[in-house]
Amino acid sequence: MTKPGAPLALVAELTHRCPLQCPYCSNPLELLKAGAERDTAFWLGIIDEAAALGVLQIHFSGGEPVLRPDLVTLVAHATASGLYANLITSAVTLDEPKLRALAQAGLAHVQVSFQGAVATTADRIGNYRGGHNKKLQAAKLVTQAGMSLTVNAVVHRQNLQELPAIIDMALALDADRLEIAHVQYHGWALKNRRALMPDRHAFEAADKIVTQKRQELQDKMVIDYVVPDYYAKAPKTCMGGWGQKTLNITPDGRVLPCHAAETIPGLTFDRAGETSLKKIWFESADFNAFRGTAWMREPCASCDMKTIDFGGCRCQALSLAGDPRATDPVCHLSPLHQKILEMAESESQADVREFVYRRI
Amino acid sequence: MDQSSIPALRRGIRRHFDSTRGAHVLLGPERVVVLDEIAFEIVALLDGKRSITEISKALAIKFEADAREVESDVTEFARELVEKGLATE
Repeated sequence: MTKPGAPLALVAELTHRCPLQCPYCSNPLELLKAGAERDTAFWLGIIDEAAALGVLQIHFSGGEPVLRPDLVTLVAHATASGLYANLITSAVTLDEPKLRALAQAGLAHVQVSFQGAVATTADRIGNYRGGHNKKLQAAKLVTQAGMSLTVNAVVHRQNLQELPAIIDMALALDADRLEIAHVQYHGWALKNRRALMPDRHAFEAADKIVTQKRQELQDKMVIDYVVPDYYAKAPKTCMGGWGQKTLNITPDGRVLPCHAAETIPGLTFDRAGETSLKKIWFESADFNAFRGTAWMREPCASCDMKTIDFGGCRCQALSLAGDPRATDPVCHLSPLHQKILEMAESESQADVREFVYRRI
Repeated sequence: MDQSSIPALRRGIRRHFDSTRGAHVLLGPERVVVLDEIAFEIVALLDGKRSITEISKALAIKFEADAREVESDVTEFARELVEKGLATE
């Protein structure tokens, strides 16, 4: 196998704590408590290592990274190290003084999550009363402070009807970019799949709206769209390929190829600070486990798409096919494809509205 | 995108020299674009004031190149940046 290039991005999950309780949270089911979090010195060291390794972008994420009192210090250090600093936030705890301090520290971009376009819908999904209006306030302050704004909206059966209103909301907020992402079914989302899965008709209608609006608004706002996996024909190029572009560091300092990788048995995940990021990226068994194409079986191994989508998502292969080396079952070439599609269609009709909220 | 278009980098897009890969890059949310020598020169002139024609003229003089050829390169690259969401026209 040819030597991989250096990573482009680092996701720093500073904490699992979050004021919101979204039922599709990408954090693991076993959430880490505050006591397990690493200190400022640890993250400053990570930033130094990442910059030296060739990382260009750092995403401060969580949980809710704004809950960390050292966020401004970390952003300033990342920016001084030449990294493009991005904040991924629920924004309900962001006020004007905090945003001003972050802008001064060099923060380039803020991604604010929205759970819908209507406050009652959004607040119910995040299980946080008054959250939606706080987000609207904070998002306005982001652009006023001169930073780039992404509106991120995770969509599913219980808010997909608000999609046109979400697009209008992002425009009204003067967002530079709108990310519309269908739920990816791992962890909490997998637990809530029967309450979240849209039906085929709704997802086809959403596709049409996005395609049309993307064209219409090209010069005003970028629209990135993450398609609903289960209804897709080809799998997504998960993380741009395992160990190809991104490192993810958990609040307790373990280094993962993607945020859901801990679900895969047999991987050990080195701790940053004990082993260098460079060594973990290039040499660790975990990062090499599904890197490239050598690990693949049929139908992936002889597929023309194998260096495009790298067989899809390994965590999804595990959760749906029971084997992380299997073809991602959302691929039409997987023997499980039809079964997955039927399951999605059946679950989309489930009479389930209540969520299992994410809780520590 | 035509000769009279005035392309500009979007808010929050930054230029950076990537010393690991030895190249200039343009960084934006979820975006990395590697700039070759010509692209780097074009980006430096995307100030939201100059048109494609003006940018092309300046570069043709600087590099003693054929203005029409430069203009087609500049137009194509500016279009790519707009498509990637890094610039507006």
